[in-house]
Amino acid sequence: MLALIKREIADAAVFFLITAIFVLILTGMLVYRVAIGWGSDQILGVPSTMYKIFGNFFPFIFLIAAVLGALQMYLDRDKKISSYLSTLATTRRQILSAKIITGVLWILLVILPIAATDAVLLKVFPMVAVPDAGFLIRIFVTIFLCGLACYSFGLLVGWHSGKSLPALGIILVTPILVSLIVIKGFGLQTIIFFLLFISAAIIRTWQKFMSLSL
Amino acid sequence: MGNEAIKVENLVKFYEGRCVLDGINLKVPQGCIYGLLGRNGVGKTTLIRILLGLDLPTRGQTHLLGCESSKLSAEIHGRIGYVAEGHNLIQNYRVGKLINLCKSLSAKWDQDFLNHLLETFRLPTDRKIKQFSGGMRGQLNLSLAMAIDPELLILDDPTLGLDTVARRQFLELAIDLLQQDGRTILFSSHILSDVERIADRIGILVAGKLAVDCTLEELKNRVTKLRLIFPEKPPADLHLTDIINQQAQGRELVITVANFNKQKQAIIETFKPSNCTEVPMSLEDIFIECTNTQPLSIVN
Repeated sequence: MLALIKREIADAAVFFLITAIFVLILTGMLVYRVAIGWGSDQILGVPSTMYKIFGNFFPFIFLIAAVLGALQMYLDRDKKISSYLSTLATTRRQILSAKIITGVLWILLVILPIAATDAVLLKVFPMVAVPDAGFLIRIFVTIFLCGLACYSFGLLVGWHSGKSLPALGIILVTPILVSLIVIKGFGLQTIIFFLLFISAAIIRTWQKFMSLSL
Repeated sequence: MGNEAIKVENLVKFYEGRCVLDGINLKVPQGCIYGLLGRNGVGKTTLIRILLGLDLPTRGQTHLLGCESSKLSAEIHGRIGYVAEGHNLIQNYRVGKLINLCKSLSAKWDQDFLNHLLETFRLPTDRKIKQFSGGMRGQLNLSLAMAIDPELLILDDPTLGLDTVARRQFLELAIDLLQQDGRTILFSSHILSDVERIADRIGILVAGKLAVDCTLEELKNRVTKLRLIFPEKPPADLHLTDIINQQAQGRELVITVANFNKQKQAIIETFKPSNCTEVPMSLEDIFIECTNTQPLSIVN
């Protein structure tokens, strides 16, 4: 299993590398902006400084998450990689699990450093209306789930012989998922919606992957 | 379950509305080298893919090493070596990277033996697999399959697309490797001479059915070709069962019969042919006769 996860990470190395650089730049921007001052205004209960940076950055990240999921499946099918892997000492279940774990790791790579930076910044540079720790956790759980929802959708549409239909699906669905945060905020309803969406997408992908010809 | 390494029960597979496999029953005992023959597109690869769990059957069941194909565990997969038709592997990997991946996914790995095979085949480990010719990919595929010291080895038309030299080289080494004790091998091919050199039991797929399933010796003994010369025009119907092929020209009638015995000989003699001679048949002749006609049954 570990070997399969390593293989998935190595194959998605470009994604991991670019994302790491991107996250580093974003963290730097955040530190710089906060050093100047948080500002007193808030959007959706989040300091506007943080919201603006996140608002510009995360839609791209969610799009990349969907592309990562779709590419994992598309290249796999196109190059018959799973067909070969499943003849080695492994199972379809392990192959798909390795993909999903890689996707989750990638999303965590994006979110954890930013979440940690934010937590430290709020501690070091306290603002007038400090969001409580629970609220900060809710923000990042929602962002994590949105990323996972986009990734799961990518996985679902990626196992398709054509390129245009998955691409169209990602372009249409990702903005809808992201806009849900803008409309509903970082509340419980949003979290529940994402959880349901992720479950549906993963279960369908799982069912397809286990029963189709490899 | 018995000691069958491969067991197929009433296997039916429809593909895009077409019946590719029609009620296949097959048992390959452990330690047997089984040659699966059939013309291109007859369903050999489909049967192998179903055995390995890569495809699902429409009906029926298949078992490998005592485990149902669709539920093969990683442990069972680790005891099976597979050389696929076309040798897909992972094309954008370098050989070394693929070897490391296979090694890390294997329960058993013989690096020395793999090195020996790579050296024998002169395969560079620093090149990408997509830069390899079909023959080199086949050799690499076989090397990787053999490195796990498989209990069951499945070779799906491994010499397909290879030139004569590469095919000979592949087979010579394969024969050495295959003849080790206790290993079960399923070898599919449409090249008769390949199978004849390796197999001790043969199956021939014709129109989705397993028309022949017996030892090579039995097959040769049980299919008989006779040249009959009659004083006048040959009879239209000899009233024989198991006629595989029949051709009449002038006073001459050439028939190929399965399961030829004294009873059938007696029936022929009632038509009083002036001459009756047996025509020697190679495996290739038998294969051509069998695959050119409706499925007969030479199953033991």
